[in-house]
Amino acid sequence: MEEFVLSTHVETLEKLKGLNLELFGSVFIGDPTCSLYPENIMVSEERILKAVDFVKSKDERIEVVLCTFAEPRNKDLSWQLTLLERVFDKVDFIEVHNMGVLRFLSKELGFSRLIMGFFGNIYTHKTLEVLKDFGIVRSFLNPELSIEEIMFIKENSPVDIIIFAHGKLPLGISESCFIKEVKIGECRDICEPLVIESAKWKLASFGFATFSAKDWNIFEYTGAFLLKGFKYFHIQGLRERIEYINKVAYIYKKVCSDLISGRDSQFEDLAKELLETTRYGFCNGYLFRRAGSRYVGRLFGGEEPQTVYADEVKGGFRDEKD
Amino acid sequence: MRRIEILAPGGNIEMARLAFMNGANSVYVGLAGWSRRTREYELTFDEIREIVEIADKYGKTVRVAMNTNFSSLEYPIFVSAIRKLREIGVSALILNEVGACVVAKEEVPDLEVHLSAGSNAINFEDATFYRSIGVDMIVMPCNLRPEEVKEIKERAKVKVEVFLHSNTCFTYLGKCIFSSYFRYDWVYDEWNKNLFLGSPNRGGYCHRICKAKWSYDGKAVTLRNDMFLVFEELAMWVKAGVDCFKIQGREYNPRIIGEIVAFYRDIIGDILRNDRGFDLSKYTERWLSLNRERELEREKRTIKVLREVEMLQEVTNPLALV
Repeated sequence: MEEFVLSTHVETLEKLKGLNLELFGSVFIGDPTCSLYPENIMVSEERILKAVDFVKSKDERIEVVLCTFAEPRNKDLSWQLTLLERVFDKVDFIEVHNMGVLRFLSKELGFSRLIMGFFGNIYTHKTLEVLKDFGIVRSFLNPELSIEEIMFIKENSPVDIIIFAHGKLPLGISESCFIKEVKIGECRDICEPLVIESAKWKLASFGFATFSAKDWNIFEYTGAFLLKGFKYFHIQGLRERIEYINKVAYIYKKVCSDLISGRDSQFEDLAKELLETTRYGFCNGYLFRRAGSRYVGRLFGGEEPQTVYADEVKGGFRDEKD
Repeated sequence: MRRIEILAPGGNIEMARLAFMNGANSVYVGLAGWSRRTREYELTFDEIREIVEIADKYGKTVRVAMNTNFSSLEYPIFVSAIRKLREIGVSALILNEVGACVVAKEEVPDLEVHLSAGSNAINFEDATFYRSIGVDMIVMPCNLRPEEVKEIKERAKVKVEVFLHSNTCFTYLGKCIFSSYFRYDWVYDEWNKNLFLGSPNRGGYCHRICKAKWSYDGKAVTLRNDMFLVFEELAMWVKAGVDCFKIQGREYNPRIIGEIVAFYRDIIGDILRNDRGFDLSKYTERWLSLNRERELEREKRTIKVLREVEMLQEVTNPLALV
């Protein structure tokens, strides 16, 4: 196993076939945000098995992670749990976002290679301690956490942490599809991300889920995360073009490899290449205790970290909360 | 006769007193810095102690909301706070964090743990999971229908609490970080509690980004934010087996809360006494009147929030790039 593992989500078999698997150590199959997404791998046993075969035929070592529906209601559990019973032993890991699905897999099926997804709302090491007993071995964290909170959790939790490295940030998930409220037609014809605007703000609706329009980006902090022992880095691939995913993954793989091997990385050149992949810019503010939409860093016109901390004062701010 | 609990808000001491006088079985309050409301509607330990003393006189109980996703770094002050609340004599804690639920059961086992709606337990497997970690009652998300709640209660064998009136956000409650994506500040109070301004999940104030004027492709679009009122279906909810009905409104006028409590005490009592012959129509006029008053209170809040959203858009630092 390499000293770092890149992963991404792919919704369909067609997209999976376009993925440059040499870049990834782990592939999440399916779209957990929408069970109706056309050709969604995770809702069909046949597609799941084909996806597993495809990945393993390319490289047996690549982990296949089966996604599960993030917000299943009672009526969704019947198909979701039945399907999981049929396929759970065919995949390397299963990603869950819902505590109920987690409990079922862990306690009813005895499956213990589970990954907590980004809608799992994981904020603390204590929660991960509990979830370890339910088979969680790896976890995304809620994006709102700062670097020091992420570090604390890594040092005090029994499960591996996946760093959300790059891509549109999951900001919320709804019970109805926003795209269907705005457009008329069949999912197959209308399902593509909508960017909605309000003054300077932009958000991207993927239907049930809302993501940032900007790309979250830890590029210039990759070395710091590696140095601190983080190993798992995720490129957000839902609703992204395959060219985008492959390009971003290539850049992160290059910078990780160079940093680990001590090679001279063309850091500035890679940054320029990364810049070409984004349409609405970058963000990473949560890492620095600031609004998620801000970007803190030396690159990409970011704010200086020290100025971000300059106005932090303890006490006496209670009225600001209102 | 079956007993159904009415839980009323205690935004201040007067509100709690009026709620008890008008027939509430219990009152919930937010501990300063730890609940999903602004400081104005949260209480100190001393204020909570006073409400517990009032509750004791009436033979009623007090719950304390600490339903935020606080930081791993704050577990020591969380433990200290819940021990103090136990000494004060509260009956239950309303929590959100999986880790916090387990720690509370270890530290203060004689207190009940109630799961906040912010945890978004939306199916019977979820409820079974939470019951397995010690949760005594689950506050149901407003998205659920009576038949779903009935199935959850029956299959998970856990007590369920339902809001009598509320709003369903654009996203599932607790699964949204829109607000902190645009405004997020780490600010500490005098007890060294981080208020996480801008993050409602973490105890800060929700800027209701979903209520801003959004557009897609130059045309105005609305992010759904529906009313949730159980009045017309109250008999169905009672039949679904609801153990506790919750009245929201820590921020309302105490007099209105007193009247709402009395109204629902009457109508729920009537439903329980007249299972088959219950006549809703005789309550409609009183309900419309109360609802108008409640709506006026809410409207004031909405106007304030929308102004804040507009102001926030002016000061939000957009990414230098793009």
